[in-house]
Amino acid sequence: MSDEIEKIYDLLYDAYSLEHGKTKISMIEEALSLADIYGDEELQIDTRNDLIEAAVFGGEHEKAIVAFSWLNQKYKESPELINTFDFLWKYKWILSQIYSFPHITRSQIDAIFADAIECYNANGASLRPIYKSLCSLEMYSGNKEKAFEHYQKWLSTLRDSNSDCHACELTTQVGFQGFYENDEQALDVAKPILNGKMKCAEVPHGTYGRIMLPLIRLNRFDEAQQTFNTGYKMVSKNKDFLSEIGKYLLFQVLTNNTKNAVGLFEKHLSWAVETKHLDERFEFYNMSWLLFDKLESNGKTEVKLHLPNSFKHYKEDGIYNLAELKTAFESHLSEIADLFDKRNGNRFYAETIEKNKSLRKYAFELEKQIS
Amino acid sequence: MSHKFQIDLLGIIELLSEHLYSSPQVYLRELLQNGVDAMQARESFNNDFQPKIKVSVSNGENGRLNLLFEDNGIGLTEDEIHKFLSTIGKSSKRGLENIYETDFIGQFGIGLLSCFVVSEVVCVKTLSAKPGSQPIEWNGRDDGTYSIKILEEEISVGTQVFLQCKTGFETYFETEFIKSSLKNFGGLLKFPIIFSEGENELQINVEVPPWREEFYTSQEEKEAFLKYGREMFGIEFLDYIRLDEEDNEVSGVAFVLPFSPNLASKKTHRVYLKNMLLSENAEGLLPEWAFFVKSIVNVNNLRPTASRESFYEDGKLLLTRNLFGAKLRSYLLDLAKNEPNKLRKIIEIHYLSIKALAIDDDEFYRMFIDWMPFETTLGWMSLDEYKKLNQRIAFIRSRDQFRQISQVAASQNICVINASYTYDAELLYKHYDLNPEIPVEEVTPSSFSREFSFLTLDEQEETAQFMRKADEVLRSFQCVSDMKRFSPTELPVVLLADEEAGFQRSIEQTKQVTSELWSGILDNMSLHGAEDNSSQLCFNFSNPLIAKISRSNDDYLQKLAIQILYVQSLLLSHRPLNSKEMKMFNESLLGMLEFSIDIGGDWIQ
Repeated sequence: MSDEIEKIYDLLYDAYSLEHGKTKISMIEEALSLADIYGDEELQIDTRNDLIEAAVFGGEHEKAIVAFSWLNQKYKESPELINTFDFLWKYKWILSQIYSFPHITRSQIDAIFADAIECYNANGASLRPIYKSLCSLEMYSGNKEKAFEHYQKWLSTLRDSNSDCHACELTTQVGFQGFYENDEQALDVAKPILNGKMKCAEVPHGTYGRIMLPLIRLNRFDEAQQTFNTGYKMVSKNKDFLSEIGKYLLFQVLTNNTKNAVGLFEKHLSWAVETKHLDERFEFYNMSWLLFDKLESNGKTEVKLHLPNSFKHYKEDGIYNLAELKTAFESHLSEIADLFDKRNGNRFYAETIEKNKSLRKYAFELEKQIS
Repeated sequence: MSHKFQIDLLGIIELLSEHLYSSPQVYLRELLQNGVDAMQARESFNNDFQPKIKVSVSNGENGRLNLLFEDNGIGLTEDEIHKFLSTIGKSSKRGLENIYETDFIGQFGIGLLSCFVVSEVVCVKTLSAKPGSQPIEWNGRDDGTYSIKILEEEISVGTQVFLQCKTGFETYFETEFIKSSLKNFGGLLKFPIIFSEGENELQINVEVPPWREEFYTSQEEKEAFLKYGREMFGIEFLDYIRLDEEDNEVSGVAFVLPFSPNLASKKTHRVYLKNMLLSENAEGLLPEWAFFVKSIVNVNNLRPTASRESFYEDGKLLLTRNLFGAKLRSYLLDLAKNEPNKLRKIIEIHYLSIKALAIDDDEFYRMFIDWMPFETTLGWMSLDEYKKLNQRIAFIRSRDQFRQISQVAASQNICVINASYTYDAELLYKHYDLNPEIPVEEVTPSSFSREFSFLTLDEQEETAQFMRKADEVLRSFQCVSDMKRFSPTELPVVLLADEEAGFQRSIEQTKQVTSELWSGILDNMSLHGAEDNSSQLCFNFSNPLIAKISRSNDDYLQKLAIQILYVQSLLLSHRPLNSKEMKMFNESLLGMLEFSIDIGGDWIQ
């Protein structure tokens, strides 16, 4: 084996032993670059497959999209080089988050879905996972009717070996019911996951975050507290769960545990700043706004924060004026909302900002302090 | 009018054997579990009762192997048989839960069904300990029928289960297999499990786990524990940490692994519930950070999930996890005080575990952070060594960027920490929180290049034309240029790219091979970038070649040199060339060749 190839395998091997995250991604990227320089087609494909997986589970979907677009081309040109099952599986991942990037136009998204459906049909694969992604797409684009339509189609289409596992599907269903505030139903659907009957690589990690809002809206704060205790730890090290972390931040704000809330904000802000998933940044910023608002209503005007210098409003002395922070975040929020609303052709994101502010009304003082 | 479901037992058994049970051998676990439950129930009535399980295998009619499994537990009455043994999905344990709640763990109510996976008939003879009971025989068949009769022969209180091996399942009735399975599932049980072979009776669970033994010297204890670890896992462990509590609710041991485990794989432990093996791959019982140990634990009061791989996340589990965490933590603290050499060895292998704990634990952090190793531009060193060399703590978050600067930094004796690994950046920021007198600074390639020496005004003037040329050449590659002095002097240029620049490059490169749809998407993806995404090519004026070229008057030569140096810097930093760069590289190389031929033309001829 030549030195170059050995180096590539070493990198992939080292990356394999790491938890999902930046370093894993960057090792695979290095291996990918070497594979490209070396020009070994098989390795170019393998390293891209690895990168897609690491990027999807490490919260950097944009890198997965770039790598996948290359694979997609290869698949069209020389399908014999690509494992079809693998390809369809990865395609599913790409579809599942494509809406997170508002610069990708709706017609481009539609074209990708059309391409995916063609690939699935050509291989006789069930369209079930595609309907699931379409459901999420419409849901997060503010198209309720269409979201329900795809929800039905998703659940009524037969599964096959390419479909998501039952636990993953249930988690998406929990998210769907929670999104439309069918809170009891969301909790009901989550049951088999929460009592440990079902799990997979991403479940229950993501499930806990998805039941947070339903529990809060139903005023079931004890259970929400339990969910926080169990769920936060599971996701606290992975950027892929930024939007769940936003929910946990909200919980700390609503229970007036401002010290914990500030800690969460400080710890995860750099993810929100650097992520290209603007929908997740949007979510985290919304919850951050509620934190500033809470601090203000507790009578503060300033707060000392330990923030990364990548933050646009970074201050060396760490003293931040709350009113200024609120204004700054409002303007970030409406910037992001504009991008999405323009793409989606509605005012869904703009309305979401207002709706999130109204979450204040669930404020609740827990007697127990959180460890 | 309501009707009852008809249940096809054969179908259920098929389902069970295919899905629920990981291997047919679990029929032995279920038999053992039933026996244990029955004996515990009897024990609660009768104090001087001697529980015992006996298993034997014999050759039956038509050459089939038979298995007899006996316990002297509480037994079943006829009513109980109809109610529990013959109703699928129901377990006597559930019916009696108010009385014996804490004594019964087989809550899945389908134990006996698993016997049908390996045997077409299941015959149970039983005599209940309840006064006035009669001995009964129950015969169940896998077609879903059963018969029941009162026995004329006398039997002692307890239950006997007879199985007849199904064709194809002979392996699961082999003597050695049964013995090792019973030992595996019930090795920790406190009453004897006897395997009888003809005249010979052999107790299977004769060995006692070391935490139940008493030792006179610590050396003796250590040897016994490490031997136990070797036997259970086949690993020579570095050390052991006792996990037992006086109240006996939890007992066991955690072994310190002699290698660093794969973080991506699940952290698994061997867990017993009330001395019956629950799982060899249990999760969640130890804290997240405790991946430096592999443990064997017995717990009495936790509730397993149906998969038997983990426990319900409830308050009891949290308490147990915290208790184990505290034990591991105090073990490490104790080493720091009393056995620094051993600790050093453990840190070498397991510093990640310790870093993970230190993040959320200030006292622990203070104690350990200075011992922790970090990768720096001057090699691996402990934070303590680092602080002796530096007034401030400088780190870089991305691995790729660390690589870009490491050669230059090392040569200039600048020590920067590679904090791309999990926890590192967080730990270093925490250092500032706890010790604000030592500044902590996050470095990027562009901020790093500010440390290079500036040129004098004269030198700047001399090189001004070259720099204009460089900007002109590099503009279309989204790259800016700079000229500084730095070491090593052999290095003519260094390419510094922040993360965003790397992403944009990958988009550029990929776009050139993809279809119109995808390149349009990639184009739009590139809009997601930060405002400043160009990379920087920094020329080294201390390098003689650069000094020479930058002072040259030859416009064409300068252009060729810049193009070639740019491409060289890309390749040195492992960045594949896109087609535009490749084209430029070919042209400039040929140009350079032609240029030298022109100069040395006489020599060529």
